[in-house]
Amino acid sequence: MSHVGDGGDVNEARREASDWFVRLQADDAGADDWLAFERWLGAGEANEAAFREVEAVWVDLDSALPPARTAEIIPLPVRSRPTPRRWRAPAAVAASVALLVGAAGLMTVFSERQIAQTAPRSDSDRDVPIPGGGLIHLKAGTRLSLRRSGMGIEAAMGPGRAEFTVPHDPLRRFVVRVGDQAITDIGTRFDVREDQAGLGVSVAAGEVAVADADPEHNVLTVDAGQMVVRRRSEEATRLLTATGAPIQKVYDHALLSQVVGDLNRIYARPVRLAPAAANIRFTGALVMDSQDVVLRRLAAFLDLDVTRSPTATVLSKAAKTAQ
Amino acid sequence: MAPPERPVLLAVYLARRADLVRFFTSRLKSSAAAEDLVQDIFLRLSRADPAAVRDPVAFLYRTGWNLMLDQLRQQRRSGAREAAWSGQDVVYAGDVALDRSPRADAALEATERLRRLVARLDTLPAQTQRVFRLHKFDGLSHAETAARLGISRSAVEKHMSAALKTLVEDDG
Repeated sequence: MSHVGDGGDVNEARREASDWFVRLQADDAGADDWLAFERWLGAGEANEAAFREVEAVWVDLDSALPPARTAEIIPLPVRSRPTPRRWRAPAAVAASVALLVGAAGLMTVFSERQIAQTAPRSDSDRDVPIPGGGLIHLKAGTRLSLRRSGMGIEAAMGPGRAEFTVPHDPLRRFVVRVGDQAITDIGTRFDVREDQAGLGVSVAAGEVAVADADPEHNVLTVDAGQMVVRRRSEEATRLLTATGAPIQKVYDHALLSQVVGDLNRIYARPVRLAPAAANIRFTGALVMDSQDVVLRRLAAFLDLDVTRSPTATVLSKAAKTAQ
Repeated sequence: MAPPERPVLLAVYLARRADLVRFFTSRLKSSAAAEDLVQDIFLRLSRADPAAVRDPVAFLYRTGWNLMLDQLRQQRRSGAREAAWSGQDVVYAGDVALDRSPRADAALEATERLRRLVARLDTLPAQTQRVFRLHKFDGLSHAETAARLGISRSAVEKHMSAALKTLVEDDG
């Protein structure tokens, strides 16, 4: 806590806090370091406050965009027929508001937040470069707009289909929004299609997260070779293999902690395990569709209690069987 | 058959559980939050490769600290989101908020602060910047950073400390 007149102490605490932060991140930080750190932390409120400041700077920097990117001028080429597959040497565009109309369709460039908007073309596909790297291959008839969001780029997509190739960049998030579904790229190549039947996301390489309007409960991590389908006629979002088969995990005498680990890799809502349940073993196959259904099956099979809190779901031995 | 090291890890966890709860209660100012976090450490422990754990006690504390930093990260991002899009129709994609409404002052302030931090980073000595960026943004460990730049691990620690001190003092 900073007070007038004790600036020296505050800065001394910050210096020590910085040293501790770095020491604890060192590869060879050992038990003795942690115990000494605990003593230092408990030695005064100033130490704890300073360490919190260091932690805040550290995590806040995660959202930092490099200056080169925040000041970047967005190049948006105008294309004419015949449509080439890829942009080459895009012309520089002034950062101020500009409007460009191409012979083959409409593309607008706005400053700062809204980057580009494409009107759908019914005759052919087109390629749209993603500012900062990457490419969107837009199928004929698909409408798409790009804009900056606080931590990266957002694409809003209408009915149709598009293939995205996005290089991994920890400082730039790339999100595709389709209706109330959002697909967050984690460095990958994926395909999004939306039609009257619903939404489909296929991942060819890397990994994406698919969230609906209530992402606290409904986020799926989709790996390469998997796809997500959300049919308009159904509530649940289904995780499938690339061929459309359900994702299935087979366990042979596996610890429940391992099964729960798999669930936590697939579903965003965390599942926790009461210690007494960790050593239960499971043999069988689990079809990974909706998390609730998976947990119900598991609980019924292994005689577990499922308790939901605002932040997690906890699996424990059923009361009647627990010691 | 579990590898022989895993029972050792679990035994260390059980022996240190009360210490961990005390430590993280102090850090989180909540015994319930600390209990949750220590339970999460157990889950991480159950997934960890025992052969990769050199110091089980340090591993437990480090795992808990990482989880704590993840929570802090989410809190600060959601705080910025709520400030930016309070009262608006917001759709979330994981931890990214999507909306077309204008940014509020608080979010602008957070963005400005970030820009100041990054700008300050750019004024650090070149080698300090390299070390900081490799470790912080590229995710290299201290040892990997040292190997990449051909310097010692203690030099990496010195550069990292110097960078953090500057950033935190300017930020305060």
